[in-house]
Amino acid sequence: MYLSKGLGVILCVMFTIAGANFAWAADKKSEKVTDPVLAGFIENAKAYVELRTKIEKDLPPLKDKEGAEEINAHQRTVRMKIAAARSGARRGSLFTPEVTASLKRILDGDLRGPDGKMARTTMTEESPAHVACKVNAAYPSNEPVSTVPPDLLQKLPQLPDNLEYRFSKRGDLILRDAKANMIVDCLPGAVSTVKKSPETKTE
Amino acid sequence: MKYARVFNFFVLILGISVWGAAAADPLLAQDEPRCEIRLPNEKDSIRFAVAGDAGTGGSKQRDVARQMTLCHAVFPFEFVLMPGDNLYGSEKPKDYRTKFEEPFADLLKAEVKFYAALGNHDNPEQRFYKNFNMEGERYYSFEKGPVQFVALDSTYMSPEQLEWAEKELRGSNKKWKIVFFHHPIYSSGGRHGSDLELRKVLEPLFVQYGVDVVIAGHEHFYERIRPQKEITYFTSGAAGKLRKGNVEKTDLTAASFDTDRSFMLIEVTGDTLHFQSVSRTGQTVDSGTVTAREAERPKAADAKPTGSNREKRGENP
Repeated sequence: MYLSKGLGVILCVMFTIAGANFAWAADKKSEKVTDPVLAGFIENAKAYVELRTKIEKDLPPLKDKEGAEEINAHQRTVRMKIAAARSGARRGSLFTPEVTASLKRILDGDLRGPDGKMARTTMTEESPAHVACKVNAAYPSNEPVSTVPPDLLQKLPQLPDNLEYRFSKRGDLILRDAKANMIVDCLPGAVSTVKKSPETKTE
Repeated sequence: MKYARVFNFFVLILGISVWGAAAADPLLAQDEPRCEIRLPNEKDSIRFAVAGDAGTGGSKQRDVARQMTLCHAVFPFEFVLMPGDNLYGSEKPKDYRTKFEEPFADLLKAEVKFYAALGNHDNPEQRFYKNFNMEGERYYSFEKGPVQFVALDSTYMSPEQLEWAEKELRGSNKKWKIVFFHHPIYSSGGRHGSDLELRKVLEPLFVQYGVDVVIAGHEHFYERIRPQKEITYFTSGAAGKLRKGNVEKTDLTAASFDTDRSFMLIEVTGDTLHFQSVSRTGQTVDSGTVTAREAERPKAADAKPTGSNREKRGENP
């Protein structure tokens, strides 16, 4: 009798803990989409990826052992076809004013204070100084990309297949398609930049 | 007579110029360029090289590649790890040729494989390039004997990638776990220094899942870091670019070299990893061994919390 009562209590506690853990995990997974504005943003990003996938289907697929010519031609063709298919896209197509406000809340929250300054330095260091905030333009291939702090990536809504957040030296937030090497959207002055000490000479 | 004198004068000037160039460039000054190996060079070991930040297409990168080829002749490494910045500047087909295929032509001809990680100067589509063996992925892993190699894309450490890395490291039962990526999480570099943002998320995984060695680039010099939480960190980012005098020696630094280009040779034999760092001109600038963390871990029966490993390996408190 005592044994079954004890077992019942243990089971009860186990289920409660499991339930709480499940709820926490579910909450963690869904925390990025609780904001309906950002959920809408991700839906639009997925629609963009669908367009790219459709375009890629009409092209010979890139295999994992290609030559430089094939890689280059594939990327250029994909970019041109996407640009043609969304020729009407303008700055703000995905970063709408509502999305901008939500993203800025995340960025401002994460990039404040001394830790934030360090993150902003990481983000804008060695990032391209003159990348035009221009939708459908190629991301300058002879310039480095900014490194995006992992902490910030955990807070920003997770983007679908090969879309990524990058920053320019001016602090513009760029939505980049890594496959097409293209600027999908751009948000000028999304973060304030950090003045760097002069560059050390590199040979 | 007059012409002969002028001719002799020009010959003299030419001779002095050639001698001057040879004296100024240690690579040319060598009577017979060679590679002195300080590794066991055993037949059945895992032998590889590291060449970070190589892709300039410049003459110094070619010197490094030539030196690597010399070393390969006496130390036949099977593959090369490239911890990022594989191609600087534009990435047109001709750039793949001039910044990678031509400098490393002899090694490619000898069927040496290159495994690349993406740096901040790299187009992610390099993952499809046949000679970088990335399996079409921005982050990937492969195994060689008792070693698991994990390549990460440190320019974009997304939650998805972190989850993948954890799964890879947790799931591996290899004696050796070597992770390579572009941004060093420990560095004494004056220009960049340690990437603390990355360290926050990567170090706990490395510690928990028994990573032994981490190899990075980004800083254009060579540095070996004193073991941190039992993990040995190398920066080898001067196979093409060089940031002269940029190592601001700190307590982190176990050894460093920042006056010329360099690359690494590594050999894994049983519980020991042997390393040797070689300059563009063939000088050995650092060498030593690392013991597998698995081998150092005390067995349950003789577990003693002495911390002796930390002392032995010169770890910072």
